[in-house]
Amino acid sequence: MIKVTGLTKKFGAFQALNGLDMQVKAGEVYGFIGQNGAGKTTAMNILAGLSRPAQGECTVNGKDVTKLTHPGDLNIGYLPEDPKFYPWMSARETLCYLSGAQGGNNIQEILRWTGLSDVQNRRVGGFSRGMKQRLGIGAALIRNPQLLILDEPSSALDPEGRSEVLSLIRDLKGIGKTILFSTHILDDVERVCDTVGMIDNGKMMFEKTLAQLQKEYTQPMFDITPASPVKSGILELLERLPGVVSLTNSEKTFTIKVTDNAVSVSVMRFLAEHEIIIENFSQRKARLEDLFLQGVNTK
Amino acid sequence: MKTEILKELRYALRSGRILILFASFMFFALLTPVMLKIVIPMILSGQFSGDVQQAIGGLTDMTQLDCIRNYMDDVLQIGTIIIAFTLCGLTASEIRDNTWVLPICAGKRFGRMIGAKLLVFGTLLILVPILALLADYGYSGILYGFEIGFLPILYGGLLQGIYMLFLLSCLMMWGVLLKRPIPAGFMTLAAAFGIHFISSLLRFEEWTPSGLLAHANRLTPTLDSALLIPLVMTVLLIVFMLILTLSRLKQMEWNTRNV
Repeated sequence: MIKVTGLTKKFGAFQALNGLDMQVKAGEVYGFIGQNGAGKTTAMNILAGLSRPAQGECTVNGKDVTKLTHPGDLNIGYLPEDPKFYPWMSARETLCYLSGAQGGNNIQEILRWTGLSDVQNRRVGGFSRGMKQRLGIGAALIRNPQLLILDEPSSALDPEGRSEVLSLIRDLKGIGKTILFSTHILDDVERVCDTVGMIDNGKMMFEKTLAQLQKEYTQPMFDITPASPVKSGILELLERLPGVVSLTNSEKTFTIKVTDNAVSVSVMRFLAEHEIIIENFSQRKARLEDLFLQGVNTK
Repeated sequence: MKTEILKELRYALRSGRILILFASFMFFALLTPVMLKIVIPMILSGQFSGDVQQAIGGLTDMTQLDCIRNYMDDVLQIGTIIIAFTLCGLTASEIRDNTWVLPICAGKRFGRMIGAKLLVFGTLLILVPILALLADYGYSGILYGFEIGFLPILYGGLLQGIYMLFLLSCLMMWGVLLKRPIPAGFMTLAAAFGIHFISSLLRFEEWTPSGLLAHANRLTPTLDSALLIPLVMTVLLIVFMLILTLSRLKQMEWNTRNV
């Protein structure tokens, strides 16, 4: 559905995309993750035909985006990060305007499906962020496209709103749509995605299936806070211990990813042998930041 | 294109644009006869001693025709400013606020979106000057007596309306080029007044849209063949500005953060 090779984009001196590669297969939900400013929105704007790349190849829905004359020719559904509507239009009028029709079953079906039937005649200016997001998803579905590109559809919402949007995405997947959605919330990825791609500094750090990713981040992690700074030589030795997958050092704490909980014994023994006084030793589940840092290290 | 036209109609009504334009033009159309007949003589009478009526007679000796022409001058000056700042966001706000992102992703064509704006607001800008001029004609006729026919008023209003179409195209073009409403309004004013001033100074008014206003001001009962030149020039300018607007829109990048 989407194939991107060596995509670059510059805004003045700022390199927003730096040789991005990605592939989204038909029928899958692809979670596009990365920190704020990593290049997600720039990439999605290009994929939606709204922006032109400086270099690279980009095929969406079988069409070469670089040769596009109008974004609408891609026949995809696109939801911007902050969808802008006419505040003086009602939800129904908005969908009618976007569809080019005066109403009909399709509009009513979308309103019902997005849960906006009861407020269809209310002006969009009075809508909450969650309602606007749902209307945005409805707008993206107006031409019944096979591919949907959703830019941070759940990020600015409260837990209830997020849950509603993710439920909509799951339903869309159920009816065979291909969905590319960006987020920086790992929980959302876990709940709906088949494949995950992580972008940083305009470059793809990794592209993995959720199963692969889960296997990796269900490995235990230990956050260790020493009483005094540990020499880097000792940390290098610690990283080479059998069962230690990776070690990430931050200001006061270092984080060790291990193959299983039993490795904690050899880690403790190693720390004791090197007379390192520990202020805190805790186990936790991996976060997006851990994946990100690991991605940087493996690259 | 029906939904695009409906959208522009809703915008014109719900944003109060129709009301602002109609009320502004009507205000000047109805106020000018009163000002010339009652207010100005009152003000001037306080300035002269002795035989007041004789002293101010020459200054305030107006006819219906003078009164209508006075209003038509106001339309060029204040009417242009009102239009420029009432409609300056027509394209600029759509770009700046990213409200065109969803429509273009849904397959809306620029030609249709611009065409709908031109059709709805163009019709409005032709109708409003005609109606306002008719109101001015009627009211000044009551105050001064009717001395000209109905047809020159319709012609005059229509020519003013065509001039307003030129302003509208100019506003849409500057809006797309500058992406900011107020600068687009100022650039339109600069273009309109600049063309009027320079063409009057160098005596080539007939070759510019300002020639339409000069013809409108003559209030002749029939359309003059000399009208063809400013009419064709105005249409050519409108077409040129629309082509420029559309070609710029096709090259534009959308959903940018810092427009």
